[in-house]
Amino acid sequence: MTEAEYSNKELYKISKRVFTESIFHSQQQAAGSNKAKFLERVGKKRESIGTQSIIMKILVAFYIVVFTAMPVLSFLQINIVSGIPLVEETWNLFVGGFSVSGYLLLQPIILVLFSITFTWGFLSKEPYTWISTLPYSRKDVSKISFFTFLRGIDVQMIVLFLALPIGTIIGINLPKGMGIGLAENFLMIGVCLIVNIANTVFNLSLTILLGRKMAKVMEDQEENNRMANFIRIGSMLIYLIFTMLASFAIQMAITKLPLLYDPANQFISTQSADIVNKVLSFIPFPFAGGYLLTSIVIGVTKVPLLVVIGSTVGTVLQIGLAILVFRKALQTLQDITLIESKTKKSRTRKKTTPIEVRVFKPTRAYMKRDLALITRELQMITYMLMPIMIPITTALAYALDMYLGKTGIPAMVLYIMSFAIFSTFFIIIGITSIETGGETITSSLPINIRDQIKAKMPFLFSTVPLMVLVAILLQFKQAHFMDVLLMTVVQLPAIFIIGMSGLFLKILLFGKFKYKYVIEEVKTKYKEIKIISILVIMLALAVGFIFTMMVGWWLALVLEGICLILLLIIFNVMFPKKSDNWMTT
Amino acid sequence: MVNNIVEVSNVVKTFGDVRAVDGLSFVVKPGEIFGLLGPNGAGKTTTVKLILGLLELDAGDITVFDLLPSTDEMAIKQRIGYVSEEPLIYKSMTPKELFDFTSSIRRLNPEDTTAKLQRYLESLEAEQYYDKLIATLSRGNKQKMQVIAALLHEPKLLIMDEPLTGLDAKSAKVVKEILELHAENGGSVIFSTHILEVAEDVCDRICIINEGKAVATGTMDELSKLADKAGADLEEIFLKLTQQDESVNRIISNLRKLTNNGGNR
Ligand SMILES: Nc1ncnc2c1ncn2[C@@H]1O[C@H](COP(=O)(O)OP(=O)(O)OP(=O)(O)O)[C@@H](O)[C@H]1O
Ligand SMILES: [Mg+2]
Repeated sequence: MTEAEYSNKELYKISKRVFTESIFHSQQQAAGSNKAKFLERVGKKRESIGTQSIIMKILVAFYIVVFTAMPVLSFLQINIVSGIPLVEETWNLFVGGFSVSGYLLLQPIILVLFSITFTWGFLSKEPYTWISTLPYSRKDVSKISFFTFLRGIDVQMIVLFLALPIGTIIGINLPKGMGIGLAENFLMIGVCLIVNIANTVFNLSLTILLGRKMAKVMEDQEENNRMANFIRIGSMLIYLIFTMLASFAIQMAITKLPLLYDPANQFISTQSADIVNKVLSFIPFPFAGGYLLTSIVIGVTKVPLLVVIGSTVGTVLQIGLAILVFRKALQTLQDITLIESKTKKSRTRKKTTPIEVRVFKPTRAYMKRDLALITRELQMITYMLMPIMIPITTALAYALDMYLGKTGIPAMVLYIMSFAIFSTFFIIIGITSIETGGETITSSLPINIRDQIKAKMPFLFSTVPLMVLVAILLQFKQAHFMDVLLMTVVQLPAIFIIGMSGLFLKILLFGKFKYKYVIEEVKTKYKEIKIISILVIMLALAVGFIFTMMVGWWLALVLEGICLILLLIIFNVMFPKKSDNWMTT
Repeated sequence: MVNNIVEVSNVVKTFGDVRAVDGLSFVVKPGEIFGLLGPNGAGKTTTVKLILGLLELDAGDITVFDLLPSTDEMAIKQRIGYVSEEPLIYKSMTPKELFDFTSSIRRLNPEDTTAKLQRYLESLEAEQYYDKLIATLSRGNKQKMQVIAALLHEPKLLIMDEPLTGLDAKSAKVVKEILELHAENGGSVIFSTHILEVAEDVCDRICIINEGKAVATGTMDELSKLADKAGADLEEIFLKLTQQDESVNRIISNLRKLTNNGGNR
């Protein structure tokens, strides 16, 4: 090549620009039709582009570190119990092998699940198209793409490399004081590093391959908008659920794992455990690494030879596998920077939708529109999915034995209620902000705000009460289940009342014209103060209701009845039934 | 005597200390295409929004079909078709969903509307975008969808804020044709633009606005007389009326200097 070659250092510097561009690109895509709002926010605060990626990095690093507790605890335990003569090595190998393999398996899951939602930005063509038009050679551009990806996962990668070796040193040295041999330590660290490097390379390559798949779907949004929406919804769900599950898993690992080493808790026969050990140790990912490490911790002489051989062969295979996937990933990274004409697209058949207007009742039409807008926007989806947190966190609260005994019941109900109120609040913010996106088209329509509000009811009051009930029903085994159930059912109308009050307040504070109310935010002065006061009022109402319920549930019901009547009156005053006289023209 | 469709008299609208509309008056008669012509920031969009009742008046009066936008909003909107300046229709909907939505809100007859929609989509060559996400459409195609959405209920008054922006020559011609047909059938159009040729080409009467004030109102001939330059083209009139002619000359000569300097290097 005749053109001046750039040094890797220079290219790495350039990749910073591409990196920022990619994050911007993916966030913009995720914003969906909220793009305008997103751009406005970024316009005001440029730094906010990077913040999200930093948070993501820290989050992933955090999870990896926390999960390292699994093998570390395992090694600690093996070292502690191995002094006891009664202890069965086969069983130790079984539990140890599984817990370390489990950790190795969790690594790519964390990495893929968390990184993919934002790394696909680096893996779509968009950020590279411009760079490709500048005087860089093809090779340089591929390198830039590699560096860009590296920038996206640098922290995670370092943590992945280091967490297990460091954890292992702690795990094997702590119980014996520092009395363990240097050679043993070196062997351990060496094996850890090998297993870990193979694993990390494998995981990162997997992330690249899957991320690219996702980016392709997002690029072809026009053809595949269903799929893109599905990915948006899916990634959001994963995000929420995984956060919760992770907390559970850590709980389990810390409380239950050490107990498993107790021979009294052995749940399969030693013979079966032995067979399982021998078979699994040959499977490269994730078991070989897990069994190899566990074998070394227990002592190579104390475990069956077949397991040692098996796990060594498996680990070599794993290295080979990692190299293979890595090559494929590199190729993928190179392909990204190729600017190709979009001829391939024409393969999708032209299915023409017959042109036909369907007319619905206004309330139904609003509902259909709201549904379309909600399901196609990441932010809206997040709001609508908030209530999922209710059962998950409630279950967690139970698991942590936070509320024991009869005195704990009101606290439990308060806990559930406050989550319900929070979710309702977010849904209110979400469904009212829909109206600004299409400002002009709705504003020119003869809109009846009454219909508009009615259409929003199902969104406001479907997921929250449902999830509250799920949260309660999940606890059916608890001693005070009936009490909590009764109290919560009595509280359900209160959720409705508080939700409606929040909605009305929002409209009152943000959408008051001289002669009418609108759902759009037209009075945006003191926005933050208004929003916060809405939330505070909603929470205050919730506390009030729970307080009356503690006095007596009949009192709560009477109060709720009065409030409902009041709400109905307010509804009719604020949003009067308009005569349909305009229809006669 | 036929009543005026729109009457705007001495209207004032301020945003903070900006007087966006400052004592504006004009009337729109049945069967005419009325142009609001003015430079950027003149107050055209604000005026249009006031007529629709999307903004509240500070002073003055507006009647539309002899009704007040502030109180008879519903009745007015049912008879107006509005194309906004920015194609700010829901981007995460498809045109199909959009048309279903607007037709439902306006309670139109599905059969008639389907026939109309087919005709409009065909004449604007936009059928293939009927089922695509609006976000993925080009600016011009978004604009077409917005124009169609404003036409389906056969409004008596069309309010179009720069409707031709982004349209290709052919589609622009079709939209102009639609507007003329609409006026011939007795409907009225308020047509806002900052482009002289467009106003000259499309409008029957023009109100030239500058800094929220009506500088001159009338037909092309009347405006020419007003400008004291009979026979001159509208560009000169427009620049003169909005008192931009001198500044334009200055800007042009500055530009010349710049490009000359560049050429010398
Ligand atoms: N919501 C608002 N808040 C503050 N100022 C506004 C607002 N809307 C319009 N203005 C101001 O009012 C003036 C008139 O704006 P308007 O949008 O009516 O101009 P226009 O004639 O439509 O211009 P253009 O040709 O660029 O569309 C401008 O100075 C603008 O900055
Ligand atoms: Mg304008």
